[in-house]
Amino acid sequence: VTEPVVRILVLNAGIAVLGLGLLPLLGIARTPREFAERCGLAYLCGFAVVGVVGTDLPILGVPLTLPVFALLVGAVFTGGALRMRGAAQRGTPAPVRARAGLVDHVWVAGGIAGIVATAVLFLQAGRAFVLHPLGWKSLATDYDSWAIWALKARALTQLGDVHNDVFTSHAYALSHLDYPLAYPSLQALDYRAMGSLDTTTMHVQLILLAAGFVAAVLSLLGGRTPLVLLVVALLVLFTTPMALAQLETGYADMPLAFMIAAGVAGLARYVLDGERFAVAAAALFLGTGALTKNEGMLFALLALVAAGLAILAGDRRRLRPLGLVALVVVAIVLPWRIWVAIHPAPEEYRFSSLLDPSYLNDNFDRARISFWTLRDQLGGASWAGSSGLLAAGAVCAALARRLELLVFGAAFLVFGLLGLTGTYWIAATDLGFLLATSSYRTVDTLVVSGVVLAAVGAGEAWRLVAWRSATDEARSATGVSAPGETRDVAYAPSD
Amino acid sequence: VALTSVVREWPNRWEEFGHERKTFAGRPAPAPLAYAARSIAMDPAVLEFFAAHLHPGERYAFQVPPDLTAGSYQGLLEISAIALLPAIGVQDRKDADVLLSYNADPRPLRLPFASEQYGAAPYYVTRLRP
Repeated sequence: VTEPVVRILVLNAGIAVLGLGLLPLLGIARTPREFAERCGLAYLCGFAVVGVVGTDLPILGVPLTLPVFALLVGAVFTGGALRMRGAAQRGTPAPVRARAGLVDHVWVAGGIAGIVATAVLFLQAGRAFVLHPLGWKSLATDYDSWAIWALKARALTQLGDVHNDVFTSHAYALSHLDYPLAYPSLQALDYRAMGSLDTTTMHVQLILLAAGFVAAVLSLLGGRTPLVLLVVALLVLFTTPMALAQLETGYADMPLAFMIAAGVAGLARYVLDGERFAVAAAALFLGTGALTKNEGMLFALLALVAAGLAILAGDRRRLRPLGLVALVVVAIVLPWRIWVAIHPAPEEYRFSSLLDPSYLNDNFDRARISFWTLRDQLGGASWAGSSGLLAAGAVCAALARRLELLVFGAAFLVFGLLGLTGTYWIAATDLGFLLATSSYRTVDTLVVSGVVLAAVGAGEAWRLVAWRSATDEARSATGVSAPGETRDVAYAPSD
Repeated sequence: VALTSVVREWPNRWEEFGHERKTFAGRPAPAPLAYAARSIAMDPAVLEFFAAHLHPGERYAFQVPPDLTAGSYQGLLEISAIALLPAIGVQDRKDADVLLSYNADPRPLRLPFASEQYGAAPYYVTRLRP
């Protein structure tokens, strides 16, 4: 472990502390018990704040330096601690849980084994990541990583803000002036923490982001979906040939996928049981996803539309908080979109073509080819068992009669695939080149979200099985039907 | 479904990253973007030579030979954009403070200030403004 690695680790501890402070402030954790259960969300929340503040401050001409970051951490953590102190004095009773049976012990042990297997794999990957030089095979290797993201991060570090040619001049158009800054803001903070523009060691940041994503998903869904199902699903994801290999390139697609998938996980939880903390976290994650890559705006919008449709199929009283989520996402994205509107980039997509029937008709082949290419990527060997897992999760959700989950998952994934197809349809670039260089990674968000949704679907089937076996036990013990007497309230269906 | 995938793939990823670590660890630490620069037949030391003659915020433009391929020229611009920060690249020589000659001789341009050459190689830095 070298000194730059230690410095990145210390910085990331600061990001986690920032997120810990945020949990009470956002209402994600209002009691010490909730804080303990949901602290896994802290790191990803901290990254979200860095992404948002790291975008907005440079627009205002203020660099996100280490002292500013330290001030931010101190202020947020103090605010959170004060809020928690009040909550601790009020106190809340712990939920009553019946004694766990053998099956529960086996499942918990499986979950822990899965976490260990994930951690060991991350450690092994991290040992390679930390030595990964940018562009190590050719100019094209890790291209976006150095030509776009590292360039923006380095400019933020060395020039301080976005009021310069790197972010405004068409001489830098190749770095895509309109690409948002959440991800390079984090990298810039890494450079500042390391005290050098070390683009090799920087890669260790990416494995920490993956670990933060795992912790966030377990926290968001752990109260509803059995740990073992979540961990095994995430292991399926991270053992695919694509996931960690792509993360290592330093492209923003996997960080985007983490943020949107965490938002989707929060919305899935909210759609199923109306948990407010999950929807608060989803708002932050979807907003940051929209600030990570331009496609993030599309995915955030589609996730909200899908959740809206699912709620219409279930409890409609949950629509209003969803509207608030949409407002938060817009508020997070707005400053950057205003900046881009003032400093327009060369047009990458012909959005006007969407309203031009003759263009759409004449170029329908672009849509057809894109759709099948993206579909092949989703089901290809690069993502190993992910598609099988998704199918199994959907069957489980159907067996558990979770219509709202099925609607949410199907709408998000189908709309997502169609939305991506639409971006290729109207892109101003040669289609063959575009698909060859990006289709394998633009599907990341759909795959990662799909894996998370599959685990939730499987969890719903498990809840039904556990509930039935508990009611059978209760019946045989008392001789009467007692659907309310469950062995473990955590597995009781909400309806 | 999940366990089958994990049991099959986990050892593969373990092997892959172990092999990768051995590959990277066996090489000396490269200069930033050294590999990318070499892939367009550019000596990374030339980038360092250019960077050493630029002040933060100064604007530079490139002089390149007419037979430089479009791909190589684009690669040069892209690598320079990041490697020469905090100096700023511009498209037009009229907007530049410094001219960077890449495989080209600036003397026929009759520039107002003397050029500095990278050894005997055809790389020059010429100030365009005092």
